[in-house]
Amino acid sequence: MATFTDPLDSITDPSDWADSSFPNLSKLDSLLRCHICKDFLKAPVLTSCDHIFCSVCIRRSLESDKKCPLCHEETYESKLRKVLLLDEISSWFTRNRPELLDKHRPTANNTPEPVAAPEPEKPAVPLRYESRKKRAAEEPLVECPVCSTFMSADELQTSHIDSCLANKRARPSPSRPVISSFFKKERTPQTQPEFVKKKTKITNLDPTISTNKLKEKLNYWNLPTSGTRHQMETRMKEFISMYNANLDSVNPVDDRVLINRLMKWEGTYSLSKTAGDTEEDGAQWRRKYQKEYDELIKQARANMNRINTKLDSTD
Amino acid sequence: MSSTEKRLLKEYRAVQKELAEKRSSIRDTGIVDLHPLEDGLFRWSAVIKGPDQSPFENALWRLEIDIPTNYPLDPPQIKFVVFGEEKIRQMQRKTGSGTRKVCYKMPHPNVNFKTGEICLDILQQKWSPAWTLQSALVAIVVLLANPEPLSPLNIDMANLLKCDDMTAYRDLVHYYIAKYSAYESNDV
Repeated sequence: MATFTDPLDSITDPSDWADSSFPNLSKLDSLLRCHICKDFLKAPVLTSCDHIFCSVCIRRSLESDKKCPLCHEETYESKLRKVLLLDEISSWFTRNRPELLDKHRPTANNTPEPVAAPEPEKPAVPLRYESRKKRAAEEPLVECPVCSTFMSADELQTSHIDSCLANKRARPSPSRPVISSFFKKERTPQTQPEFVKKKTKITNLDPTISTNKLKEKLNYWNLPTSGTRHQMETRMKEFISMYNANLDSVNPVDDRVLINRLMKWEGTYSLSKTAGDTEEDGAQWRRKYQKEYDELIKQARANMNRINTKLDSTD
Repeated sequence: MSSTEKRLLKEYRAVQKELAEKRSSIRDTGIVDLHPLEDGLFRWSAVIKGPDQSPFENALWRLEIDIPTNYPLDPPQIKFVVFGEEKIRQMQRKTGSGTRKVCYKMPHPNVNFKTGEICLDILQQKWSPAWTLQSALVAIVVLLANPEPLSPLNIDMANLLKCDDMTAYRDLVHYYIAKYSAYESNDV
């Protein structure tokens, strides 16, 4: 089972918090996960029955069954609504999770199993630095009467007040840049970049589409037209799921990135494997029923012989 | 790593953690063991315990699980590991090699007696990708205590229930458990 240990470290689940100093975080951890992929929500969407899944997960699922995986109520792709705020919350949590987990790690002597601590040990220096920072953050902040900056009382009294009084004019008041930087922020929360608004979702693939039309469609989206009809269909379907899900994301990527992901997906998962599987199934089937086949062949030969001898004798 | 493998790894990790705890909710549901086989993530093996206050109480059964390539959109294929009489006798003769005593026959109205196949709607058309291997196994444990004689795979057992002959039903189950259990070899 050694093969599983390596990728396991990159796999997270809510129980990671169980040995932390704040085990309740496992609740938040599990709430932010998609019920289909069990990973953190990516581009979450709300169904008409008020359940939330990753956009790409629910789209793939609805392709085979038009029911909500949680309540089995009928749900349609057209009814899915994106929830940008949740996307932001989830990606924030994903980004900050390793650090949070690290900060809530119990002291070294009660972590006996290495499995429970996937994050690499931090060197002693940054740890001490962090604890100082943390201590500073816990102290109540006071306002400097000169420049109105907030800082710890300690810092204000020892160094800041003097320097602030000495070169008051040279020091720009930090309160003004705060306001301007607020307006200059990368992007207003809960909005998608402009280019997404120009795009519309691709409609689902009509299963009766002619192979030529399917190729045209693939060409239009710069996708390869190699492989069998089934492979092309699967490729187009997966691309539609990915493309539409991308439009539900608060941080959508370029189409070229999507095509890259699609190619990777094809490589690791479906097409090569499904092709291989049928061959393997065939081989397994043959092995399983070899005896019966042999028996049937024997019977058929015996019958042939009997008929032949009968014919011979009648002649 | 495909999304299927990633999800299976997540399930594996969560299950291993729970099984490692002495008192965990997973054990209370009747799952004794659940792990992938050596040859990859797409074949798993499990051991379940018969639910309390049922004829199957306290006995163990092994299940084999085949995962389709587009799991969790398609349900896992789960069946009981059952052996012929001869093979079980052989295993019983080698007693003491393993630690777990497992029953290799499953006399239940919704389980095929010869193949171990299970008739359970959530493992077929009612499957949902939100379920896990763990929840599928819990459903099987629950099925042991709540047979559905109206859609039987084992007509004889179903008929006993339809006639409401609980004594015969219970005694037959106990008979099979007593006669066809063997210590499993360590290599499983």
